[in-house]
Amino acid sequence: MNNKAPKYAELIIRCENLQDQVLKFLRIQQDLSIAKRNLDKDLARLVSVQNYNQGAIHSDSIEAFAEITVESVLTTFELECSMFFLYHAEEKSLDLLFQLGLNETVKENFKLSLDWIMNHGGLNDLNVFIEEI
Amino acid sequence: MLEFYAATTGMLNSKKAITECLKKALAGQPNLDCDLIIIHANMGHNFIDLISEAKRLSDGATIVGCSTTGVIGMDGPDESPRALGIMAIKGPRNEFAVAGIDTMVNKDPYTACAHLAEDLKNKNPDINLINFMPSWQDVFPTDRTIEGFESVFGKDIPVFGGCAADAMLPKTSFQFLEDQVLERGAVAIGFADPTLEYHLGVSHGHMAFGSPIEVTRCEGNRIYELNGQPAWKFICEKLDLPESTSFLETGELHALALELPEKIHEEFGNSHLVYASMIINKDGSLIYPLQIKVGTKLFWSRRDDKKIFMGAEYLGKRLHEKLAGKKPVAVFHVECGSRGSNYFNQTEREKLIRCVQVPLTVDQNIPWLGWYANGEFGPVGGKNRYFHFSVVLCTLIRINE
Repeated sequence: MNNKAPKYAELIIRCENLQDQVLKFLRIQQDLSIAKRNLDKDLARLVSVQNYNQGAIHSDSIEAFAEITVESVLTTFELECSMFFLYHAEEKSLDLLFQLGLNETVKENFKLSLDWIMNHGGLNDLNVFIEEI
Repeated sequence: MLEFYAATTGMLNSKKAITECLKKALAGQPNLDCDLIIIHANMGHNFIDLISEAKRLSDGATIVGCSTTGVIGMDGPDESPRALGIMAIKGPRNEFAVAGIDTMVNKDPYTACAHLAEDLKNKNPDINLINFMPSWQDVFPTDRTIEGFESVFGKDIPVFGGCAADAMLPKTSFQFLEDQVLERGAVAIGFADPTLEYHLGVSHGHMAFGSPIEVTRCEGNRIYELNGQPAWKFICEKLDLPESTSFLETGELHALALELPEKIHEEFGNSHLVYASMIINKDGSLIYPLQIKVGTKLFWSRRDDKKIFMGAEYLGKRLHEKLAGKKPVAVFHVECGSRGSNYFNQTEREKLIRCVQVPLTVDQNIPWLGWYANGEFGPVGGKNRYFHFSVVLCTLIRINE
């Protein structure tokens, strides 16, 4: 067994190396924390979706369904605005039924022409979610 | 004599949310009339709607406040995009004053805050407590910001508050003043109620460690070199990250600690202040929040969850002792955004908030307005300071009650 005590300069180097190791471990710890945070957020989102399902099933009118849908989209996906449209077959337009987050002045008789949407590629956009009910 | 009423809500529609808050806060009062409304709202809200509706419901009330990352009330924290918290205050107009600066962008923080303080003083020379809500990226160096206030009110005036946030993006911030929404401005409230006594406290849960890192070249609060190497390069190399890494990507790991004088370690519950550099310049220099000198020793720091919780509880208990059995008439609470959902889940956040609330409220209902900020202000060791990663509490008690 080597009983020779390390010199001061040697101890300093060992200490610096240990500190560098600690910093690297802290980085790993932080990465794990971020992963945990993201998992927590996903879990919270799933809970929110579940709450929406329960609320939507019990809604007794299309207006109530629209309101709960718009509110749930906002809270679940942390968005600034959300709108619920009804398709008007004769006019080929999407008529706004309920919205949150837009200026009140655009609420009245707000419509989107289906032709305009198709010309702007809206229906092919993967971020657009259209469900027939 | 000022009277305080607080409430929070997560209601989505901005007009309905402020209505709900005012009704909740002023439940039992004959109407919604009040003299001052402090509003903290997360970024999802329509700020104009909040202000206009508050004015409509309480005609004549002065409106002041700022954007946040979330709010904290007696029912816990809420960091949803439409979290809203208010403190409605009733009382004589000569017991408070508000002032603001349209923009702090490219302004010398000392001069801007001295003007802000002069405005407050002109409106009310008896102000003895200041609640400050500036834009987060325009207050550096923060020691000069504080000196701006102190140049007018003297060093004994407690300045507490926080930097307005934008849901931890962090890119900008908004302040509310009467019917205006300011971007990257600053607002301040001065309190001058002679019947009130204030007790303030601050805590954070970061620990300094390792051998000192010497500032080898700096100018004001701009650090060019650490241990003889370009500052950001030095930090990134130690963290085994490319130099192109942004400060956000390093999380809190790049935060460097500054030692406090030993005599205030016990009061603060910590031996160091820890600061992130939220602005990294193209030349690799850092904007440290305070002015420092060549030769200053800084330290690495790490978050210690146990210490965060223990520190919060210790702060609550310490302030409770100062109240000497009196029930607070109101509590203002500023919590760093990094102690919120960016790090803790909902259960942990609620537990952390309970750590400070339980000792102070003893489960009584107290007007409590808290919010998540991007940098905090408060006095420690008899000196106004700026903080990161901290909780700042200001408890108000009635002197003769």
